[in-house]
Amino acid sequence: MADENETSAPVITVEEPLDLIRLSLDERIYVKMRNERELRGRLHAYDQHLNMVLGEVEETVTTVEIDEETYEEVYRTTKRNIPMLFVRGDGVILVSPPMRGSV
Amino acid sequence: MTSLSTARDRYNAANSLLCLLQALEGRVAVVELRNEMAVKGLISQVDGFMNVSLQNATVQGNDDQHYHFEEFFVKARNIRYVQIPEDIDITEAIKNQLEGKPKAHKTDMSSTTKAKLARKRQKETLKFIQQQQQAEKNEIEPQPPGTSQETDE
Repeated sequence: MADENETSAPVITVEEPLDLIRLSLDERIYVKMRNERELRGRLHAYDQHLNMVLGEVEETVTTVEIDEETYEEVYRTTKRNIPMLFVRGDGVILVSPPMRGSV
Repeated sequence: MTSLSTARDRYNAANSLLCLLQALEGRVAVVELRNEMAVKGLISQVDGFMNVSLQNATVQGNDDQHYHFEEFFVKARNIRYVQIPEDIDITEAIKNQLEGKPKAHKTDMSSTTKAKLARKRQKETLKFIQQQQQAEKNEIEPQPPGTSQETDE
């Protein structure tokens, strides 16, 4: 904190993978979760376990059912919205910027 | 945090998002579990492992039935999500949790280099977020009418 520039705005340097997530603070992100769940929302906070706080979240749950007659796999997605969500880190598979075309 | 918490609990809380969940103590929130169940109740305590105790809990089971419990304890690893009440300002909550409890920092733990570094990072991050929010606010605020010099004449 000796430098005056540093006190005015902390410079974000990328030294470890988690620093990449820091770049996404206050941006919309895509989170793939275990059990075929996906989240899209604004990243408000995270910690070293990848516990996260997301705002304006849309959760997509994909379930597979087998059609009894044709034996085809039918994918069904269920979506729901949650204004503010705390996500426990152990369920997180990956974090990325939202894919193009989707929110 | 109650007197039950140990130095390790407090250390964990001060260095992760646990402190946000602990800020929810005394509030009603929904905890969603890994087995697709959801528990709604008054959060009475969150410990250093993120184990959560609730009071007056309503549990929505897999069968969409509701069950009521006076006390309900959720072991940390079964938590998938916690729905945070909308009226909570998370930056404020974390700040209060970190600064409003000076005792948490007065343990031996707090004088280690690691803890100091972690706290420095927390402060930087908080500052960064606040600056971003400030910058965003300034951007969003429309120019007050009349400030523009370009008029018809």
